Amino acid sequence: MMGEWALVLFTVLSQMAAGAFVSLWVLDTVKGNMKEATGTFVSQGVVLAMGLGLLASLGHLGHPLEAYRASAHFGTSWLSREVVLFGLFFFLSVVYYWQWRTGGARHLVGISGSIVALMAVPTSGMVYVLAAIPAWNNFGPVLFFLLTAVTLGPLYAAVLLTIKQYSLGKSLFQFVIAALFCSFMSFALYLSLLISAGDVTALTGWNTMLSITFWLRLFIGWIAPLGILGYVLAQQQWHISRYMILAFALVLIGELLGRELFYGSAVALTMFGL
Amino acid sequence: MAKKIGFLVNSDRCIGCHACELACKNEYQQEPEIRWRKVYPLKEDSFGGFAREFASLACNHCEDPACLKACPVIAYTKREDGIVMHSKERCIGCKNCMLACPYKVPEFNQKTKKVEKCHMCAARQDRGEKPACVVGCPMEAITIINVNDTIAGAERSLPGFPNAAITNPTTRFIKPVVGRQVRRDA
Amino acid sequence: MAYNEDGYQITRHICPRNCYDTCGMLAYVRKGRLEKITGDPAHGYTKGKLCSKGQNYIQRVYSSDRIRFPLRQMGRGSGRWERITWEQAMEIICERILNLKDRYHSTLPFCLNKYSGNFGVLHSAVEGMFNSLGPTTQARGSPCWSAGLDAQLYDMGYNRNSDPGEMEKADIIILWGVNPAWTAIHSLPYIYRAQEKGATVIVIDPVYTQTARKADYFVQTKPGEDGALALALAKIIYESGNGDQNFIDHHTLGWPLFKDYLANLNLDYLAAQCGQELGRIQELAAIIGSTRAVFIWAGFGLQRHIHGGQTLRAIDALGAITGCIGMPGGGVHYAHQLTWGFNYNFLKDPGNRYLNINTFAHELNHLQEQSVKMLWVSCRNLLAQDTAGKMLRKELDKLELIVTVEQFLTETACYSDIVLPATTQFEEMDVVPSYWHHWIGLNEQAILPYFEAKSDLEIGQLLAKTLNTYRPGSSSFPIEKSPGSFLDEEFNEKLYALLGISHWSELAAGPRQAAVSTTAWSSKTFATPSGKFEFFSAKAQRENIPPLAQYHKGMSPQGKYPYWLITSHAQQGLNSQFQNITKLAKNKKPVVFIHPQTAAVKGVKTGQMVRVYNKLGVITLQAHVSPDTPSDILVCHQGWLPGSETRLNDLNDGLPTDMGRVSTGSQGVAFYDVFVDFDPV
Repeated sequence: MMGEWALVLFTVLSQMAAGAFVSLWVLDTVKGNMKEATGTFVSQGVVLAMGLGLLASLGHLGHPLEAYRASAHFGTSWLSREVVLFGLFFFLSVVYYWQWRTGGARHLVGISGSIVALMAVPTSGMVYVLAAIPAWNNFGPVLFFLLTAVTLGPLYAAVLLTIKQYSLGKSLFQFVIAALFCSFMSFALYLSLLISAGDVTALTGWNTMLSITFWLRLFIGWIAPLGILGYVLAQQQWHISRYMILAFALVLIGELLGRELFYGSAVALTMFGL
Repeated sequence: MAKKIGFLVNSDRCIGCHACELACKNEYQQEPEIRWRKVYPLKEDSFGGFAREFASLACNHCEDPACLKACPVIAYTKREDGIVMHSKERCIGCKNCMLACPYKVPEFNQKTKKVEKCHMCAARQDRGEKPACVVGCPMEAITIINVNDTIAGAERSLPGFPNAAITNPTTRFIKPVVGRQVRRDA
Repeated sequence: MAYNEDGYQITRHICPRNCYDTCGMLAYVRKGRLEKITGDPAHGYTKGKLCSKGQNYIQRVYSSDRIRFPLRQMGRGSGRWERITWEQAMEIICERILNLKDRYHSTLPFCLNKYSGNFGVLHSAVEGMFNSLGPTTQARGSPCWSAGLDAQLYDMGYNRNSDPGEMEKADIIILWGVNPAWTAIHSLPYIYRAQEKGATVIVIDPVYTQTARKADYFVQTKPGEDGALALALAKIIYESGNGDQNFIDHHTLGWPLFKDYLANLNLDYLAAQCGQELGRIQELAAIIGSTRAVFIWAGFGLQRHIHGGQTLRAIDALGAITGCIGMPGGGVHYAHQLTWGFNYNFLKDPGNRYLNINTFAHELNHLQEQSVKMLWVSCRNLLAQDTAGKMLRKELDKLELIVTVEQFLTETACYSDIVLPATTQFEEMDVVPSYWHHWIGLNEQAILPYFEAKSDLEIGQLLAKTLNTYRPGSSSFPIEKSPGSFLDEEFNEKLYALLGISHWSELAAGPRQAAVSTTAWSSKTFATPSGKFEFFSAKAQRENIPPLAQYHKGMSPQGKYPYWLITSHAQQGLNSQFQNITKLAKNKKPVVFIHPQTAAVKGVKTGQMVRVYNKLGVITLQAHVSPDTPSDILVCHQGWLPGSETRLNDLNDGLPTDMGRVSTGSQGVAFYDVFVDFDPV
C-alpha cells in the first residue's frame, strides 16, 4: 500500500492536533498562567495541523470535491464517524483559537474540544478494525492511534509553547517519556502477537520486522527521543529548549514512518492463497 | 422466506477457461485492468491427491456486506433479492470498501476514480435475462440460485475461501470430485 | 444484420481459427465501433458460448499492435519500418513479379506458403490469385492432422464423425490424446451430461491435462505408444469374448489376418511399451468390453509421432472389434470433411509445383529446377511454427522478396520486406465450416476495415488489377467480383441440400447444421473400396504402408537426451495466435512444465530459468514444477510471444509421420518425437 501518503499524513497530523489541543487545554486548566498570545499561538498551531491533515485526507479520494458527502453513513460507517468527529474537532479548534485570540470564554470550548478529540482518535482507529485484515482486527489501530496522539501531541504543544517562552515543567516530558515507552512496549507486544498468529497475520508481522522502515522507526521514533529526553531530564540543570525541536522532529518522523509501515505491511485475507 | 439470490459456482464443472471473466468484461466494456469476476486456481492438494481445480468468483452479495457497512457515502445498498448494488453516482472513491471486503471484490477504476464491482447483472435479471457470466460460461458452471432453497451438494465454502462467517456470502459452491488416476510412474 | 433496442447493429460471425469448435459469434456495433461480442445462441453446437479467446476479440481487433498500413522494411529483420501506400506496395510487388517473369520466363519462382490462420472459404483467394498467374510453387500439406486423416481413410474410406451431441448417448467416452477442456471446450458440456447419465469418461494421455482432471479415469501412457495400448485392449477384449463378432463378420475386411496378428501379440510387451501395468490394462479392457456404446475421440496429439497413422489405425481396429462403430453414441472420431464440399474454384491447379509444407526449408533448398525467388505468406507464421527454423532463415535470406499478409508483426512478418495489413473476421465477409461439428455459418461484415487493412480476397484482386495494368493478361483473377458472387460460385446444389437452404445468404438468419447422419457410419456401409471397415487396406499397401493396422515401436528418450519434449496446445492460445493479446497471456515468459522429481534431480524450482537443449539447439524457458507431467516428459505449450527469441521447434527435427500424403498431399510432422535434456541457467 505504498502511496497511501494521504492517509499517513491525515492520521498522524490529526492525532497530533488532537493531542496538542488536549495538552493545551490541560495546561491552561491546571496551571492557569498562560498568556493569551501564547494560547493563541498554540491553538493556531492546532488549527494548522488539523487543517493540513484534513487537506491531506482529500488526496486519498477519487473525488475530493465530494468529500462533504462522506458523513452520510454515520449509522454504521466508522469512516463517516471519523469524518464527522474530526470535522467537529476542526470546527471547535477554530472556535478555541478565536476565543484565545479575542479573550472570550474558552473553557467550555476547551473541554468539549478535548472530549471530541479523545473520541475522534479511537474512531479513526476503528476504521481499520476489519475482519478482512486480521492484523488490524484487534486493539492495535485504536491503541496506536491514541499513542501517537499522546506522544506527538504534547511534544507539538511543547514546541509551540517554548517558542513563546512559556516555561514548562518536567511533568509534560515525563508523561511523554512514559507514553513513548508505552508505545514501544505495546508495539513489541503487538508484533510478537502477530508473528505467533498464523497465516496472513504472521505475514504482516514479518513484513514489518523485515522492512527497513521498521528499524528506522525504531531508532528515530523511539530509541533516539527516549534517549534524548531521558538524558535531558536526568540533568540537574535542564534546558529542554535546545532539544525540544529535535525530540519533536524525531517523534514526528518516527510516527510518519510507523504509519507508512502500518498501511504498507498489512496483509489482507487471501482468496485461495493468492 | 423471501427469495434471496446468490451465485452457485460449480467447481466440479469449471475448467478455468476464464470465459466468464471476459463475458462480463464484454457485457460492460470494462477498462482492461478491471475484472468484476475472477477465476482462482485452487490449491492443488485441497481435494486429496493431486488436482488443479478452479473457482470463479465475482461479488458474493453477502448477507452482511462489509462494503456496505464501511462505505461513508451509502453508495452500497442491498436489494430485496439480496443483490448488493453499488452506486457510481454516490461513490467518492475513498476505497474504504476495498479494505473492508474480505474477498477483494471492489476495484478502483483509475479512469473514473471510483470503485466498481459486480451487480449480478441486476438490470438484466430484472428484464428476465441471466447474468452475462452465467450465459457466457461454456461449462454451465455458474448459476443463480435461491439461497433459501436446499441445493444438493451446495456448500458455503471451498478450501482457501475466506471465513464465510465474516460477511455471510450468498455464493454457494459445488466441490470438485477428483477421478481415479492410473499413472505410469505410480 | 439486425438492430436491437440498445441501438446496436448485430452481425453474425464464425470464428475462423483452426479449432475444433469454430464458434458462432454475434458482434455488437455502435457508431461503427465493435463494442461487444457474445456467442451466437443460434449455433447448435457452440450454443451462444465462447472461449476466452473469442470473448476477447475486441482486444485483438483494436489492439494497438495491429498493423494499420502497408509497411516496407528497410533490411529484413532490421525493424526499420516505413509506412507505404497500397499503390507503392503493389508497385514493388508487381515490379518484382514481372522482373522475375522476364528473367526466368516462368512463374515457378513465385512461392506461396499459407495454412490455417483463417479457415474462411474465401481465404482460398490467396491460392486463387497465385493460380491465376500460372504454375507457381506452393507449400502443401498440413502440420496438424495428416497422419490421422489418412489412417481413417484407409480404415473407413472417408473422414466422417458423429455429431458431438452423440457423446450423450455413450456408455463410455474415451478421450484419447485430446484435451477438449483447452481445445474444444464446447464439447465438454456434452461429456458432462453423459457423465450425469452414468457414462464413464476415460482420458488416455501422457500428460495429466485439464480434461484428465474432469475424467473418471486418467490413464497415462508413454508418448507415441498409444497403439500398443489400443492393440492390447483389442486383444484382451476379443480374446475374452467381449468382441462384437456380428460386426466383425458382416462389416469388416481382413479380419482373419488381423485376428492372427492379434493372437501373436505379447501383452506383457505391449504393456511395457505403453508404460502401464498389464493388470490396469485388463481392468480397462473389462470396463470397455462390458459396455456397448464406446465413443472414442482420438485427438491430433497421438498422431504427432512417427507411427501416428498406425496408432490411429490401431484405435480404429479397437473400435471395430467392440462393434461400436456406427452405433449411436459409439465410434472412433477424429475429424470430418462432411461439410467442406465447396467448389474450390480458387484451387484449380494450373500445374503447380508443390513443396511439403512440413519440410519447407529443406524443399526450398533441394529444388532441382527453378529456385524460388519470391515468397508470399498469408494465414501463417512459419518462422515461429516451422521445424528447422535456422535452415528456414537461411533459405529466406536467398529470396528477393518476401510479402506477408498479417494482422500483427509476427516473427514471419518481421522477416519480410513488405507487410500488408489483413482484416479480421469482423471486417470481411466469409463462410466458415468446421472439422468437428456439422454446422456452417456466415461471417458478415460488422465494421469497416481497421485503418487500411484488406482481406486476402481484396488483396488478390488489387494485385491482379495492378499486374494487369502493368502488363495486361498477367493474371486471370476476377478483379471486379464481389465476395458475395465468389460465394455464389463456391456453393453448389449438394451443399445447399445438405444445409437445407437455397442460397448462402440465408445463413444470415443463423448457422445451419448439415443434414448428415448424426451417427457416423450408422449404415455400416463404409466408403472403402470393399464397403467394409478394412483391417486390411489394399489402398495403404499401394502407398507402401503396411496394409494391416500394426504396432510399431515408437521413439523413446535415451542417452544424452533423456526427456521427451511435448509441445501441445496452450489454453489461451491457438498455435501462434492470441498470445500477443494482452490480458490473455498468463505467462509473460514461455514456460516448461517439469515433474517434481525431475526438477529435484536438476535442482530446479518453479520460476527459475532453464536451458532446454538437444543437438539442434537450445532454448531458454521458465520452469514450472508440476506433477501434471511425468518424470520423463517436459511439456511446453506452443505459442508466440512478441519479442521472444524462444522457438520451441528449434529443437524439433521435423521427422515425418508415417501417413498423410493421401489426404493432404504430404506426410505430417512427428512434432512430439523430440528429445532433450535441460539444465538450470
